[in-house]
Amino acid sequence: MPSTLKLVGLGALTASLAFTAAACAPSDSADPAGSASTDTTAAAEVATPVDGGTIVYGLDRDITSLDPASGAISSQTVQSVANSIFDALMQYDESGELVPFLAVSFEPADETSTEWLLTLRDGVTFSDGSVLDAAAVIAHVTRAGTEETSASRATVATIASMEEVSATEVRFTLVAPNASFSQYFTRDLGQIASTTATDEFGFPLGTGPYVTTEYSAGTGITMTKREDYWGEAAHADTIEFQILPDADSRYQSLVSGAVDAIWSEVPSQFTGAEADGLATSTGNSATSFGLFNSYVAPFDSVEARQAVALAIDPQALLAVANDGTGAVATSVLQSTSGYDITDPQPAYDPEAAKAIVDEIGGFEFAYLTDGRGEAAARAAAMQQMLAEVGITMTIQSSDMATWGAALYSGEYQMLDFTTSLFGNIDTNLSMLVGTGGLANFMGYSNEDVDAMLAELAGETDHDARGVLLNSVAAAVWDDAPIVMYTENLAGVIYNPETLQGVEDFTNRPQVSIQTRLMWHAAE
Amino acid sequence: MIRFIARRGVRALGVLLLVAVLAMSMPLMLPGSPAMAALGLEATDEEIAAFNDRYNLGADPLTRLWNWLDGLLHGDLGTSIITDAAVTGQLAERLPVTLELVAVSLVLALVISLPVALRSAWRPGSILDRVSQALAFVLLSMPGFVLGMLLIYVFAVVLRVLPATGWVPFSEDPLGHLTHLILPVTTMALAEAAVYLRALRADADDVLESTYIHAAQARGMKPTRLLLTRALRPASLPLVTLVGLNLGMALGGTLVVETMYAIPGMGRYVSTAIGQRDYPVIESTTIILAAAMVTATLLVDLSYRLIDPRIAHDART
Amino acid sequence: MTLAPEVDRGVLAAVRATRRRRRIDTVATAASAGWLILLAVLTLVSIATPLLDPYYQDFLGAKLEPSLAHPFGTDGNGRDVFARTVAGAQNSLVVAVITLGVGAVGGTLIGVAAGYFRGALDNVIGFLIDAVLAIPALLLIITIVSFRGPSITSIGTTIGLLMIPAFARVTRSIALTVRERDYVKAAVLIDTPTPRILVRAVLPAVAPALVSYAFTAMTAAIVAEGSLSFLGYGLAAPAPSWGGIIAEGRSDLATAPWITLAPALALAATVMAITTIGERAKERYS
Repeated sequence: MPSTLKLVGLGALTASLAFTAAACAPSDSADPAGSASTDTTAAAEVATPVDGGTIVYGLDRDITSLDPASGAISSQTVQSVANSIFDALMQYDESGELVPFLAVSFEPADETSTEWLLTLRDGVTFSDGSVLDAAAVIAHVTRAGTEETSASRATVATIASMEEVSATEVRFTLVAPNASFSQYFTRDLGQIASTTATDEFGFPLGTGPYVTTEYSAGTGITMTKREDYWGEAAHADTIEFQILPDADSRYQSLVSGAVDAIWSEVPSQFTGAEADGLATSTGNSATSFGLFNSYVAPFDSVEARQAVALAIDPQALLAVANDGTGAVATSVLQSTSGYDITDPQPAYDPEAAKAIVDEIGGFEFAYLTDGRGEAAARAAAMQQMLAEVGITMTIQSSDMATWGAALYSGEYQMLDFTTSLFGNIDTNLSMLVGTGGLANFMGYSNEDVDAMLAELAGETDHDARGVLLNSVAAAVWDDAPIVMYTENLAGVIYNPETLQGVEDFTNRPQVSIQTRLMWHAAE
Repeated sequence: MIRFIARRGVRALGVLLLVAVLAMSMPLMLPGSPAMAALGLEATDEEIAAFNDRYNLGADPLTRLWNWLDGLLHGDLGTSIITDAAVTGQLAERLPVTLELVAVSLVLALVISLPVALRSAWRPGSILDRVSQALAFVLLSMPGFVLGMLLIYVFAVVLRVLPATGWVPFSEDPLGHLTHLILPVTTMALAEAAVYLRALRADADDVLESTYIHAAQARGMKPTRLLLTRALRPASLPLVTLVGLNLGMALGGTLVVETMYAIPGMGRYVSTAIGQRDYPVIESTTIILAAAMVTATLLVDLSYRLIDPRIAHDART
Repeated sequence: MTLAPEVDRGVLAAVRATRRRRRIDTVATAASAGWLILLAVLTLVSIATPLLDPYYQDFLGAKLEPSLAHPFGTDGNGRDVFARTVAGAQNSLVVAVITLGVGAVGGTLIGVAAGYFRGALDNVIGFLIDAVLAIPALLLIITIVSFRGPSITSIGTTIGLLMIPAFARVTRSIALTVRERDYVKAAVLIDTPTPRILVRAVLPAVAPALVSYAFTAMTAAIVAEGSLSFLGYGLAAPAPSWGGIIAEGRSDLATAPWITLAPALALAATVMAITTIGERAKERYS
């Protein structure tokens, strides 16, 4: 049976890999050094920030812990919470470039990218006044590698050793070369939490712009601005997070003015927002795809997988499940990845699918969804498309917990997965399709792919990486362990009359909300 | 009377005990082991034993119930497998929310239904009578989720006068608390009021037809006084039953309303726990909700005798 | 002399009121019967002909407004909401019938046994019934359904099991009184076999109450199934059920209200119709 500790940890993992990308901290607009902000939000161009007031923000899930190592705040959807308390070492800027945030720099220290040197800012303190130094970072990373529920245990396992070079410098020595190592530090692993000091609720302190003043599981979290924040202080005095798990209710709370902003991944909310006088800030950062379980029939046969992949029209899925928002996913490389897609997934071709089915015979399988409305709509559409080529698909609609349990236990035939994993494809591709990879739930294994992934890990040249990534993708399409559907919009919907300072995430691989940049425009 | 109370009390305890044993048997009846799910297939026997010990799992239902009761005496209702938090603390946050919903909607339902029912019983066939009967009929035919959605649509989406969802603790913002309370409470109260209205109206009708009312009327007793003193008492018997049962069920019956309005109460707490197979939470809440129901039934029985002593004579059982 | 017109007026008003009520009752009963017959006919059309296909999706025609081609519009998957509402009626009613079957048969057996034999059996049954009633019904259903998996039969039988206590209470009280009737006492005295007494004397006495209570139980079953689907524990998608369609359309309430409103009104109308006819039945039998 599902549930339970391991599942929580694993769930957190899925969430984080999955939803991704989360993490990250963001933007640079509040460059602490006071240099001209490099990124201004659309709102910032039209108005001057106003300090004070309370921002009420609707979250899509209960927050069971405010500890980055718990996995509970590592998913993309709740980065607004994580970023308020913790600063990440690295973040994506508005153009999608990975840049240091809490770090001054984080660069390879040798040619093979096996050694990395992290340099910290001077004068950064946790909210109890204790100093953020190299020892604190090492303690945090060590803890993220040992906590049972941590989403980053596997990542920490790739670190052979950490050495305190000076009070503000840490040298990481990796088990194997990894040219994109610093990408791991945009969310829970990079959000440095104190290992010695906790708040009144028992959660570790951070260096971020806010401190938790009220915490109630299932209801909400209230945070108050820190006056001694190392960077430019946050605008709002208080942030109030409300837990509103039901997507429709959450949106209606926004419409009625009970909250100022909400997290959303619901397409109809993005399309309907304008009519309701609301604004959105989104990225194509949640990718939906299908996973085949290649250990069990019928998908132990590559032909069966290919037939299903060819019979699905992603364009139709985009229309019914996403209301036409977002984009069709054509590769494991996202449209915001910064790489050209030279080897896309084979296009929708029902004739070819039918030809395969005629040859191997019609078959049946069950498709497992997590019960969200978009997944259900997608499944219903797929059922019809597959029926047209002679494949019978039944739909198993479950809840997140059951879905997660099936994913980790391998008790499924094909499964619907929406994740922000693809936002960090440089680091996550090997987890997804490498033999034994952490997110390789398909049981996929291909020696050529593994070899290319090893080469990719040591390759620092951008163009060469692009070629390698596309070669891996091409090999994956031949074996069809997964089928890509759509890049979905994910992000924040807010009331522009009352809230300003929401960043633009269009070109970033992750949507990582920064509450410290937001301000209350009117009262 | 004392014998009656004692007999009823023993029976209620017996019912509760049976429910408790059933609740404690749940992990036994369902496939899979929570410890294996949590610790993985490679877990050692010691790890599993420690896990089962921590969450009061693994033993037979009676032993588990004994452990649970032992914890209850110390104010400890177990630990959630999912969040690892004490169930007692989580309940302390959620139970008051649901209690408030139930209490406020009950009061509102009575405030609506009592005057309307009596007034329309007094003037049968009047416009108030006909309109209230028709409305009650429509409300009774409307499941809570349909009514709630219509209310959200009208007041939160179209008129934008009330928040659609959410919950603000009273201590944080009294006014916000009230505005968030209105829609969910109205959803519950309207349905309840319809039930009470019909029951009261039907009974008040019978009572008002009776000769002793006519006699009192002939003596020149004022209508209001007459209604309150003579008619209400007998007519309140079915009302007490309905209110009592409603209260008993309401604690577990607020699930739809809590889900729709995103209220962190008991209903959502339990339904989430069911979805996650969080046995310690499911067990503790099941027993508590059953205790509420059993107590309500017991009180209804007792109050019957207080309101109308004649019942004692022909009471069954 | 002076009183007479007063009295006349009062009597006339009462007569008028009664007539009016009868007229309303007749109209309401006819309308209710008409609605249920219409549902039945549409259901037959939906089963027997391909005219109303609740599953066919037109990927290019999602969320179309009501029109001649789609009287209730289309949903987010481009399915015809009218066809889905009709198919939803079918599923809701099948669940209600299973529920009734389980609840009425189980409840009558238990209730009659308790009322007729009384004694220890009655006490044990009463005790068990109290125990079932002590557990919040919706939570119990969710638990069972989420462990057994949602299907028409599992949902129907689960709700039905929970209705057994109500049916048992109704039949028990009647069996109790029948037991005391002279002809039953006489039959017992002349050693009539108990099964024969139960079938010939007790069942006919229980039947009218059973029939009128069945209408109430049916509406309760429809509402319970709807709530279950609304909460996401109902029939697995894409099978149409009223509660499920309403829940699916909820996110489009502002932009495409027809997806939600059509099944919501159909659900409320059906419950009203069954209640109305049930009340007529109750009047006739009592």
